[in-house]
Amino acid sequence: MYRVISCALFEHEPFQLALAAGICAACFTAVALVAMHAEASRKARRGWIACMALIAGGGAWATHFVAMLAYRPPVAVGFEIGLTAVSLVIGVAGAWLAFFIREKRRDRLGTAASGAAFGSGVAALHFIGMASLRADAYRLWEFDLIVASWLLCVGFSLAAFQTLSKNKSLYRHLLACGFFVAAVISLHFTAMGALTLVPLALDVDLTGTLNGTGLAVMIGITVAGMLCVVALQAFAEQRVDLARMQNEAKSQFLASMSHELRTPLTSIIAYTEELAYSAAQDKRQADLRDANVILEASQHLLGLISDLMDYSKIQEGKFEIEPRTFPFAAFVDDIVAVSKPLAAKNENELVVELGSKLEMIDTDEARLRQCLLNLMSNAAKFTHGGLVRLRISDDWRGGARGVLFEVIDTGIGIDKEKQARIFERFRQADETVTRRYGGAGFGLSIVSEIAARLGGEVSVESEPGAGSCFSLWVLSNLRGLEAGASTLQNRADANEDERAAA
Amino acid sequence: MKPLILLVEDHDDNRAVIKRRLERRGHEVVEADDGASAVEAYAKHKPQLIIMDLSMPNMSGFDALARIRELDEEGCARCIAVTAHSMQSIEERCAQVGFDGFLAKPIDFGLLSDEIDRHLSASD
Repeated sequence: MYRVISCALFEHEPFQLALAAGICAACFTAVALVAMHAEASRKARRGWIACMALIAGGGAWATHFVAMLAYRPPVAVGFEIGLTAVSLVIGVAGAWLAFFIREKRRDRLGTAASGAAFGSGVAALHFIGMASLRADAYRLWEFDLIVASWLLCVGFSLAAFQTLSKNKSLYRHLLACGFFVAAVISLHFTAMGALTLVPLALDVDLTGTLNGTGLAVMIGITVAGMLCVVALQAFAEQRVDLARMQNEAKSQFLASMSHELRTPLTSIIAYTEELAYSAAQDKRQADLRDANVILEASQHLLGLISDLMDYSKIQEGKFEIEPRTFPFAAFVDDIVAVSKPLAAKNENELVVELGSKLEMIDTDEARLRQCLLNLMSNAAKFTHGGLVRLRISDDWRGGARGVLFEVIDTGIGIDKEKQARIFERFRQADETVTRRYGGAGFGLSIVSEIAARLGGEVSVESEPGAGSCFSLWVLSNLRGLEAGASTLQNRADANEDERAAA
Repeated sequence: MKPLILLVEDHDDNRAVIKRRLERRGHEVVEADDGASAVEAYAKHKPQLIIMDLSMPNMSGFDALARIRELDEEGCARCIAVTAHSMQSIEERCAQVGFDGFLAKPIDFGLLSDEIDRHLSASD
């Protein structure tokens, strides 16, 4: 005890020593405040844990080396830069481990592990820091005091984490801060008391080591770096917060907008159907035609509202795919039945070529149907008095079995430079097209997104004036492939099974 | 005589047109314009089938269904949810709380007719 006190009093410069204590108190107050904030906000947890580790570990490190600046041994000393840096890393790593454990486990064992990790980290920091000391002297270590310094440090760390584990008041956090400071300072002076430098003319070379000024610069840079990281973290949290709030507000807005739009549309459609009904009863053909025009436009509007909702779900990453296994032929029949009136509207002829031998398909039925009907209605919309063909064939791509749907029309076609862009979000090939044919231009971007989510792709080939061919390829066994996606062998097996089942 | 249907919808025009069409199909229709009056109408008329909107003033369709289920000791009432909400989660929630069917607005009357026939033949 006497050794420790005399070391602290007679071998250190008091002003610099006070500075070290001040840095220590400031850093751990910051740790306590960050811990309180992180507790309350429960956001960006990992970032805040990293921040606490950086300030706590870096603060203990800065305290140690400022105290080393205050140290006045009887010989000239220098600090090896490599080991000095290693000691900083060890200190931060120990603190990170401690706060990480605290995040995972708040029980007694977790608290004990946190305290041990933090205390041992700071002790390791200290002794590696001492190993970086170069002096023209022989070192005498007192083993008892080394053990005592470690015990003190771990003991106070345990007290700090125990204090933090109870209630979360400011008082508790500041008390914990006091324990942290006690851990670092008691360790430092006990361990310094364990060391006696016996001056010897050994001609130890101090070149290439940091002198006091160099060390001070390194400490300054480290502390400034710590502040920058904390500021960046606060900024990042703010942004995460803002982005999430904006996203939530947007999707809430779109959901209620969709509800508000559907409600009057319900009246429009129901009453127009009534008008169509009475017009048909009374054989008023002109009125019946007019009513049907309103109904078609209403259905179109309804489709746009659904597309808008899909589009917003895709943007937020909330677009879900629900695969199941179903008979393929019946699915194709259904698509053809729904496509017939679409094609007939512009006096187009619909031709279906079913070349696939697939019996069962595993994919998201509703989404695949949505894609195909979108392509079919586009083909019918941009073709007048021509041919709309749906060609379906089995096709292997990248070692996986899939189905290729080709929708071929003899319509107006698309310019080469515009073909690449039509699958991009919110873009129709030409504004004049939008005006003439309607559509907000996100139908194809939704098709493209769905195709990707069904393990496939969509592409277009077209010649202006001659027509277009949209090719949609999707996996015929979406879940089978996902389950065995790790190896090609598994893929082959999955498809083999499927063939056996078929 | 077709069985009695309780139609619960807060939007007057929409309720009127659905009622007209149900009556054209030969059903007798009792109306309610919010969840609370739906519970009253149920207690009074004990209809076999309920067509219920979800978002309504005073009492939502969910709460009204829960109250009706308490009154319906024999458990023979069938209830179809109708809503302009388009989220998939709504349909799942409806199934969870015990609605027997689900239809999105705008109502496809063909689908509604199929649903009605399915539930009325099941409860016979």
